[in-house]
Amino acid sequence: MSMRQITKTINDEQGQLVSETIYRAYFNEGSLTVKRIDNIDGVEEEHAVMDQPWKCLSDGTRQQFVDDEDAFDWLDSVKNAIL
Amino acid sequence: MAIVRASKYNVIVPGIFEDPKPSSDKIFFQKEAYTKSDLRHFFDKTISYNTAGTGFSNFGYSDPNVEGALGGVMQLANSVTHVRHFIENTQNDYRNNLDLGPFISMDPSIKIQPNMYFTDGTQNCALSYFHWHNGSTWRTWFYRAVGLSSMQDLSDVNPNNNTYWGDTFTVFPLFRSAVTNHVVTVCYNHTSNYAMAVEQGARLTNCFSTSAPNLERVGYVNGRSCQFVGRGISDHAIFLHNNVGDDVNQLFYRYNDSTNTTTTLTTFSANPSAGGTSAGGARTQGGSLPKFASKTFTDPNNAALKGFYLPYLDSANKYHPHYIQWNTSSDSFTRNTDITVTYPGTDTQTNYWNIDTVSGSSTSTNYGMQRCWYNETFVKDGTRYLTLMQLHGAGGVYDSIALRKSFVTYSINASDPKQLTYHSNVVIPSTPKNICFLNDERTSLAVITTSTMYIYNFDATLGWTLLTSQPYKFYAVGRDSFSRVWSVDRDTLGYARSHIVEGLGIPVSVTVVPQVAAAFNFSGAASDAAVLVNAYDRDGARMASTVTIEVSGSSVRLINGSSQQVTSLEVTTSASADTVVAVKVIAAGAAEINSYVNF
Repeated sequence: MSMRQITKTINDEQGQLVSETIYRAYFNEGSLTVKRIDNIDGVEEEHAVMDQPWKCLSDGTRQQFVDDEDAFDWLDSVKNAIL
Repeated sequence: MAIVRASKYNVIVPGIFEDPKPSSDKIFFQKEAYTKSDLRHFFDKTISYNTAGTGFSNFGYSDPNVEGALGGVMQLANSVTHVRHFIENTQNDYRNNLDLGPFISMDPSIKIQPNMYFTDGTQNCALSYFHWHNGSTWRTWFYRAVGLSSMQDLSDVNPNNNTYWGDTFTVFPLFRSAVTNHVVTVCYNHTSNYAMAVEQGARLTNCFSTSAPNLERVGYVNGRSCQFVGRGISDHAIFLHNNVGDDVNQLFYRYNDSTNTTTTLTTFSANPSAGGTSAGGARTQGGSLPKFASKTFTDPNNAALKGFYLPYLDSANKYHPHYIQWNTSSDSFTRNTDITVTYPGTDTQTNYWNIDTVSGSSTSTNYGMQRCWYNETFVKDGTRYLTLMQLHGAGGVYDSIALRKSFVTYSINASDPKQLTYHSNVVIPSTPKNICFLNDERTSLAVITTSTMYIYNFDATLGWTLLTSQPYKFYAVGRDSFSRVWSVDRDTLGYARSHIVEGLGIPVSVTVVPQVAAAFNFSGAASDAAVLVNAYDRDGARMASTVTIEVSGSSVRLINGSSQQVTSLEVTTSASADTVVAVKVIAAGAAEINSYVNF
């Protein structure tokens, strides 16, 4: 199983930072599992938020992940839209 | 319609509250119990919103004009639309925000209703909720009672909870999962004052436990609307997220309420290409606003697919709704954008509809729910139709521009759902603030404006046809579990006045017309004439009802029996024929005949 950490930031329309959320994406047997990292009183907790067996393309089609790098790159490219 | 009751107590409770338990025959007016079926009063039955049963607790609002309140005045176990009237004709204010209830569920079998009852066959839960927005705080308050015995209803117990979930949530409970016993919800999460920010999925756990149900969520995304599409593979809920800032970005999520995780099913982010009569691309007018899709229906060419329409305007700002197909065997979606929209002769959209180009436009504002575009589909006499509506919660905004108040209806080609032909349009007399369908077929429609509710029926030839109008500022309109239509206005007392618009033998409208108009001309001597009296239900069908007609002025009298001249007469109308009432014209001068529905 391989893993990549991804940070999603949300800004308002004036560009001010609204929130920053850290995720860890795990790739295993062709599928992504995405977990949100919550830091509660200094203790890190992982909460699963997404199970993703395919990547979604902008035209509405789906494709299987080629490998872990393909999966992580896709997630990073769409993190602001789907996470 | 008839005014049933004017609430007289300055207490913070719903004006009407229907017990959602199917075996219960109780409905409560400001806590006092009546039979749901025929409105007989119970001498010693009330409802308590106090969890301990030792005192009085607020829940909802008797006074519908409470700042922040978006409901809480009419809690029925069926579809209800609440309307704010706190300010008038002042745009860009959160107090205009719309009740999204009419649009949240695209599944015709799942209704958004304020009062709900869930059971797994052993346990049970009665849930009532309402929404409260004050611009920075967004709450969903709820009343919940669990463990009702077969002999009990809500007048027999104290609620387990009377509280709310957090300060940023607008929650719409959908259904109980048979697998997990969770209640799956659509959840708006108004972070940083974003009106349109939505969760990817959310569930209520502990629904059948005496402790409060937890609202557990996946994560939120700003600048989107969310609708429940239906239940897909493994009975999991599917949600449509639609960008507020444009018409081209859509995402579909599958929500696994067992693990509280989602899977992205399909995304669309590319501008459509030109196709059909659509120019493709992205619109340049209208700004940011939520756009809500129609109910789903079986695709005419493939029973394995479900279809629905989602408002989209092309680069020429012409309405060419996406026709989206849901493959229910794979939970994948196909967006069809090569839509053809045909108008009569040389007409174009501009002859029938005008885009709101004046309202404030932003995604990160707390008034982002003040207006929307909504298209809805229905079938009449075997033909499918699609009606486009432009709603604005401020009221008054579109009053001076008729075509901004216009609801445009298209007929759908029977074998090609991408072929739309203009059918008709109706101009609402004043700015439509929100709507409520009055039947499951969606062919009877209430349009709520600042001072009047208009009820339309769809006619296959004429389109939406006005059946009647009710000159009240209604804060809520909806149906109960018997599908009877109720509404609430404020009245001079201010604590909610309840109307039954149709049901219990009460018609929606009554007509009184001369049998022969010329017979009402005074000839110098008393002469006979007659009026035809008819009562109509919400479908426009003639119905039997008891009404009173009254004549004012000194020129005309009604005839009671064979010859008694009276000014007031009780008349029983017929479901099959005009009811003829004899009249005597006794003098010159104007006369006016009014009708009242007897309750």
